[in-house]
Amino acid sequence: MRSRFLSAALALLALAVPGFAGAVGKTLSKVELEGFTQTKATSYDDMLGRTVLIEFFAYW
Amino acid sequence: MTDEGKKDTEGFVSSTGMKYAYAYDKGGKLFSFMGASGYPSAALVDPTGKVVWEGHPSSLDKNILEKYLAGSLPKPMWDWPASAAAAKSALQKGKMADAIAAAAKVPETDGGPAIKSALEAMVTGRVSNMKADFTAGNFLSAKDAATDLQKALDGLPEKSEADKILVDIKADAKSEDVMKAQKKIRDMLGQRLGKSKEMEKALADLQKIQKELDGTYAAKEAGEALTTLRKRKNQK
Repeated sequence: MRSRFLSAALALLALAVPGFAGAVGKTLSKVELEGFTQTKATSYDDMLGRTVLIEFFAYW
Repeated sequence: MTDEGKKDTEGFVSSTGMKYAYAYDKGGKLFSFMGASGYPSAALVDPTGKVVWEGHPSSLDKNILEKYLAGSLPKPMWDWPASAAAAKSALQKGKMADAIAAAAKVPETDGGPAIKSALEAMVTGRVSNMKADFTAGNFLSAKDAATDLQKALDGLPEKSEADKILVDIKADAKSEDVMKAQKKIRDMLGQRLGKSKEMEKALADLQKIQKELDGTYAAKEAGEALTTLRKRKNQK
């Protein structure tokens, strides 16, 4: 079983293999995220003005 | 967006004791946009929605975090009162002068002065970061920031700071070469480099940048990119 979701917060995890590339300098144009939880934000636009750490997780 | 049900994800969140906000990236669109290829991956996004750092979560440097927190609103917009709707809308459109003007009309009882001060601090932080990038020789980030700020600060006196940075970048003898190399490095990091030949070429190109632009910010970035790509190479 494998799931993928996104979290937005100031928190860290140190687990496995890093994998990333090439979005530095780009602006998130239309971020389509759903089901915001543990926050009053209902879209990424609500987070504008804040510095956000986005962390991608997977679990099996 | 979880590939499985919400129930599974909630179970995972509950079992880890995760307290912070999360959302579902349906179809992995944001994951793809970031060019991420493995888990966990992280990205730091500045208050304007621009990606300013990405990497393994454990490698996020405290200095980078502090730098971008400096221009961040202390109170999120979802906690702003209804009377600040116009300020919120202007901020979401990136129009800082309009946002500050609208915040000035928010009653004191609704926290108007604090919202206005926060927006002004945001301007100060963004200008300060732009100048710090220029001083460090990070011409590409400074130019990007100045270009954005020229639009965002239209109608504010701080716009002249952005104008000046663009003039100063143009006047710097090395800036064009440095920015060209910085773009090349970002492109390299954005490629999959799946084939051995592609990886070797990228490593050679980075070493060349390091040597030819020794002492510049591009050489520093090339060194960091070399470390990153070598790790990726060894993980294959």
